[in-house]
Amino acid sequence: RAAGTMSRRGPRGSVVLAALVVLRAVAGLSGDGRAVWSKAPGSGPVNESQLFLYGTFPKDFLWGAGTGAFQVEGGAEGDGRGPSIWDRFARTRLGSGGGAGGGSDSDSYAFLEKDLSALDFLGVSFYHFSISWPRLFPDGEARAANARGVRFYNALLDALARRGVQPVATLFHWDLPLALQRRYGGWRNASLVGLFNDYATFCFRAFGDRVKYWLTIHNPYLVAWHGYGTGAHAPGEAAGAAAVYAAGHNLLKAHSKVWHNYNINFRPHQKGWLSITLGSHWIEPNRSENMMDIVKCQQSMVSVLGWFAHPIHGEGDYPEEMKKKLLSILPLFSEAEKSEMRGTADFFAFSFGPNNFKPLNTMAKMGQNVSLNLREVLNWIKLEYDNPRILIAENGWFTDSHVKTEDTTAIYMMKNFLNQVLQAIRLDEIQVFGYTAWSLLDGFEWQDAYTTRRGLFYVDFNSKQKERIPKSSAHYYKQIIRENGFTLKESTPDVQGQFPCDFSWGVTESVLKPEAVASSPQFSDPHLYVWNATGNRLLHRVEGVRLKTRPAQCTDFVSIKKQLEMLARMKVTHYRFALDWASVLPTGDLSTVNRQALRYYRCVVSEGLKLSISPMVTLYHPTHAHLGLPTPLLHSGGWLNPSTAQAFEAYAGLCFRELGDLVKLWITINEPNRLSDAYSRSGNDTYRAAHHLLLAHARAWRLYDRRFRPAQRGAVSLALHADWAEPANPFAASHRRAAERLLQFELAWFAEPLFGSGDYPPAARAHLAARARRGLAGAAPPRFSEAERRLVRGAADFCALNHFTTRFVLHEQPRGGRPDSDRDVRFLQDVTRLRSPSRLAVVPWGARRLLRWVRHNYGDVDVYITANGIDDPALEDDRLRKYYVEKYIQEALKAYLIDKVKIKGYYSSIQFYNKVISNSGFPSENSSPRCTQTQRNKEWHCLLIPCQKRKFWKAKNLQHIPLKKGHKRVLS
Amino acid sequence: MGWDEAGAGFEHPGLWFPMLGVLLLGACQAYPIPDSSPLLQFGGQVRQRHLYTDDIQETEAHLEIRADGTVVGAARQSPELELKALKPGVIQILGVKTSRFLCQRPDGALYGSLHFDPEACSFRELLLEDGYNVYWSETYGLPLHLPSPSSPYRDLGPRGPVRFLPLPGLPPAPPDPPGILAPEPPDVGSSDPLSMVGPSQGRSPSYAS
Repeated sequence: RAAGTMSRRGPRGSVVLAALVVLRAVAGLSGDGRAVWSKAPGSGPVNESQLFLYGTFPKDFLWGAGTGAFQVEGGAEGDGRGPSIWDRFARTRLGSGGGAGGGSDSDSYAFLEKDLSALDFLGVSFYHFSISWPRLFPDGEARAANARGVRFYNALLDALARRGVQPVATLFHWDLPLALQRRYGGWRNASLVGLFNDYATFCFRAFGDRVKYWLTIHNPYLVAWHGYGTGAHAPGEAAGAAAVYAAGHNLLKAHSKVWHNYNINFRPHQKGWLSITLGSHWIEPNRSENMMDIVKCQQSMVSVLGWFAHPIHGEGDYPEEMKKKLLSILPLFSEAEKSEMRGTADFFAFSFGPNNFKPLNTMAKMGQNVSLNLREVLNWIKLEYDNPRILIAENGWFTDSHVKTEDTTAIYMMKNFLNQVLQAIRLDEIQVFGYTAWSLLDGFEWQDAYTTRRGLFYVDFNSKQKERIPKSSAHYYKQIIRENGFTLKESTPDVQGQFPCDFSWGVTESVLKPEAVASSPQFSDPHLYVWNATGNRLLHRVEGVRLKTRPAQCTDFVSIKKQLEMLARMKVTHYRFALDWASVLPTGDLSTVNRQALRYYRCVVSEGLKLSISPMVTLYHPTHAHLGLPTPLLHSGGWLNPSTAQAFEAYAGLCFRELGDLVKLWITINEPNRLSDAYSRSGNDTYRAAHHLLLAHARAWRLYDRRFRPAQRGAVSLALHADWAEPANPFAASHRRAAERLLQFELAWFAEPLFGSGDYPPAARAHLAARARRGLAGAAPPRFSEAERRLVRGAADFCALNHFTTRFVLHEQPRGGRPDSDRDVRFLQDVTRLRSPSRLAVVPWGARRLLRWVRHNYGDVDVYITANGIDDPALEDDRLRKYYVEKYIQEALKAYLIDKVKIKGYYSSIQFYNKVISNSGFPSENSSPRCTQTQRNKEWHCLLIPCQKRKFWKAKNLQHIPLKKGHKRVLS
Repeated sequence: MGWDEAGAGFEHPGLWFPMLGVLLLGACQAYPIPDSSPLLQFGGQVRQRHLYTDDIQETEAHLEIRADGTVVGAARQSPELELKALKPGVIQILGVKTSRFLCQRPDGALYGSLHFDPEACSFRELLLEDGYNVYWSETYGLPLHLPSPSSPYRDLGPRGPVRFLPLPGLPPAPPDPPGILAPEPPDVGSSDPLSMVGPSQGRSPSYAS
C-alpha cells in the first residue's frame, strides 16, 4: 500500500490511496496488528530493544492500584445493599460466602481508612475502584438511591481528594443487582442498556464533580463469555453462543449509550474522560514467521479483544473475521448504531491479568501459544486502533493463598510487566499514560474465591481488624513509584583504567587428553618403501636403504599445534588446562607412570612458553561424565576413602617434579565444592568427600611448599566454584540470610578452612546444628583434628574463583531429604535479565560483589578469576559472549581500582564450546609483557577474522627454560 | 615386535618391475594426477574421512561408531573418522565425535572402545585400484565389515571383505540457525507462570565438559 501511494505523487497517487482507504473501511479488515508477529525475530540475544530497560516513565505518568467493589467491600446485606448475582453465585456455585458478608473478606466498607492508609503507603497518584450498583440501588432500578451507599462513596472520594489521589471509577465490575438478573435475565436482555444508563446518570450526577476518569464496564468479554457461555462466572449460565453474543451486544450498547450521555450532559461542566476497560490475553504463533499461524493468532486476538474494541475503537462494527465465522449468531449493528458506537471512548483502558487466561481450555487459542508479553499486546493495540492513549486499568498476577507477605514471584511478575510497559513507551512510542497494579488488597478472586491472592497488601480474612499488611510487592511497587521507573542502582558507571602490568589474561580449558602415540611412524622408521600401485597394492620395503630418523619432538603431537595457534591468535598470556590424572597414573599410584602422557603435557607447556603463553595447570578436573579418578581409586571408594587424598598427594608430587620447572601456577583441584554433587547419596557422604578433597589439596600444597617451592618458586591453590548469591526478595530478611547461607555452604566451606580459621564456617555449622535440633538432616560435617587444622590452614597461595553467574536465592522452609536441602534455599530465575540458553543469568555486577565479599572475609589475598564465561549458541558472531566478557571484565576492573581487590588474572572459560575458539575469540588486553601501552583497557579484539599477526615478545624467562633435547617450536 | 616381520609378508620381487615402469612412465609423460587418485587420500599423517560402502550391503552406508560403543552402518553421512597411521600399512580408526576407537573382537564383531588396544584396534589398509580400500584386523586377520542391519549384531554370515571408500568429510552441515526458539508457553494456571522458581542446585558449567 505504501509503495502504491509513494511511487507517484499527484492525483493518481491520491486516487489509489483513497481507493485503499475506502476498501479498508468497507472491508473493516484492519489487521495491522499482524505486524507484531511478522517482524523478524529479535536480532540476536543482546538486542538493546529486548534488554531490561533502565529508565523512567514520563513525568506525568499515573501510578495506581485497583480493586473491584465485590472483591473487597464486604458488608453485603448490611446498610441497605441489595444482593448481586455474584452473592448468589458464590454461595451456590463456589460454596463460599465470598463478599456476601460471610466475614471472610477484606471489608473495605467498614475499614475504608485502612485502604486509604494503604494507598498512602504506596504513594499512588490514582485509585481505581468500582461502584457497587446494588449498594446504590438494591434492586437495580435507579429510583431511590440507598443513602448510606452514597455516603460511603462520597466519603471515599472526599478522602482521596484530600490526599491528592485521583479517583478512577468503574461503574460496573460484574456485581449486577440480582433483581435485574431475575427480572430480565441479565445482560441478555436489551432492557439492561437503559437501566445501566439510568444508574450511570445517577453516578455522574452524584460523584462526577470529583471523578475525572470514568470506566463504564470492566472486561465485558469475561462477563459475556464466562457469565453466559462457560458459566464460570455469575450468573453461571451456559446458554450457548447466541446468548454470549447477545450479552456482548448489550454490554457494548450500554457502554455506548453511557458515553453519549456523559459526552452530552456531563462532560461540558465535569470535564472528565470516559472509556471501557477491555481485557485480553496475548498469543504467539507456534512457528514464528509462519503465515498460517500468524493468521490464527490474529483471529484469536480479534475474537476476544477485537470483539469489543473494533466497535468502540475501530469502525463501529464487529471484526469482519467474527462476522464471517459467526454469521447470524452475531447480532447486527445498523448503520445508525455503527456511527453511534464508533469512537465512544476517550482513551483505551486495557486489562491484562490472569482472568483472561483461565480456564485455559475455554480460550480461543487456535492451537497457538499463549503468552504474557504485555509489550506485544500493547503494540497490537497501537497498530489496530491507531495508536490510542492507553490506561492500563488492571495488571498483575496472583500468588497461592498460603503466600502471606513474601510474595516474591509477584515482584518479578510486576518487574517484568512494568518493564515491558516502559519499553513500550520508550522504545515503541506507545502512549501509555497510566498503570494500575491489581489489586490493592487481597480479596475475593471470582471463580477462584479465596484460593489465590492478588493484593499488594495482605489481609487475614479471619481476623477481626482486617489489617492491611504490605507485601514485598507493595514495597517494590512503592519503590518504582518513588523513582518513577527503574533507575540503575545495581551497577555503577563504567570506569576507565587498567590492570597492573603483570596481570595475566588467560583462557581456561578443561582436561586435555594426552595424545597417546606421537602421530607418525615416518620419523622413527628408517626404511624406505615403494608402493606397488598396479600389482598387489602393497608397500614394499626397499632393501638396503636406511634413512636417518630423528628423535621424538613436540611437533609430533598434532593437536598441540592447533591449540596453541588459536591461543596465540587470542593474544592471551596464560593458558589454563587440566591434566588427566587417570592417564598419567592409570593404577592410581606411582608404580605405573605414563611417561608418554607426561611428555605430551610437557610439550604443551614448553611449546606454549615459546609463544609467551604461560601455563596454569590444574591437576584434577572432574566432570559430570567422568569423575576423573584412576580406576583403582574409584573402585576403592573414590573421595569417600581417605587414602585417595594420599594418592593425590603422590600424584601432585610427580607433576611438580616433572613439570614444576616450567609451571609457576598450579591449581590442585577444580571446583571441589561442586564435586560433592557426585557424593550426594547422604549428607554424610557429601561432607566426607568434601573433607577428603580439602585434605588432598592441603597435602599437595604442603608438599609443594616444603619440597618444590624453594627451587620452583610457583604458587598453588584450588579453584572454587564461586557464583554470587543475591536475595531473590530484597525485602525479606529470610532471603538475605539465605543468600549469605548459600555462600557459606558453597564458597566459605572451602575458603574458610584455607584462608580463615582452619575450620568449616561457623555460620554453616550453626545452621546445620539448628536443623538437627529440629530433627531435620542427620548429617554433621566432619571435625578437623588439630593436625588437620594445621595442615589446612593457610594452605593456598592465592584465591582462585570460577565465576559464571549470580543466583537469586529464596529461603525455603526447612525440610528433610537430599543433602543439598541442608541449605534451605531455592533459586529464582529473574526473567527480566539477560540469560544464556542454559539459563545462566548475565549479572556482571555480581562478580564485583563476589570479589568484595572475598576481600571482606579473607583480607588482601591475591585473587585469580580462573574461569568465567557463558554459553552462546551463535556460530560466528557470538554477541552474547562478547557482551558478557566485556561487562564482567569491566566489573573486575572496578573491583581492582575502586575496591582494591588484588586481582591478578582473568581466565575466560571455553569449556562450553570448544568450537568457539575457532569461530570467535575472547577479548584480551594487548598483553605485552613490557606493558608499554598506556591506554590498553579499551581494546577488544574480535577474532572472528584472524586479527593482525601476533607480535612475539620473548618471554623474559625464556632463556631459563630448560628444554629437552629435540624439542622444537611448533610455530615458525 | 615391529614391522620387520610384517614387512616381510610384502616381499614380492616379481611385482617390482611393472610398478617401476608405471612410475617411470608417469614421470616421463607428466600425466596430471587425476583427482581420483587414491594417493590423494594421504593429505597428511592423519586423515579425516568417512568410510562409505555400497559393497555387498543392500544399501549405501557409512561406518559409524556410536557413543554407546556400537558400530553401525548409517545411511546418512555419519560423524567423521580419524584414520591415523600406526606403522606402514597399518592404521587406527577413531570416531572423532565419540572419542572411540574402532576395534574388533576375535569373532570379527566390531565395537567402539574408549581405550586404544593395539591388538584389537589396529587395521591393515589395502588399497584397491578402483579407489576402494579393504581393512583387515592386524591381529585376527579378519576383514572389517559392517554388521548387517537386519541380522543380530553377532550374526556374521560368511561374507567377503567389504570394500570401503574413504571419503573426505563434507563441510559440516550448517546447524539449525540460531534463531530465537519459540519459548515455552507460560503455565498460566500457575502462580509462577514463567517457571522462575527452580531447584536449588544449578549445574556448574565447569563440570559440563
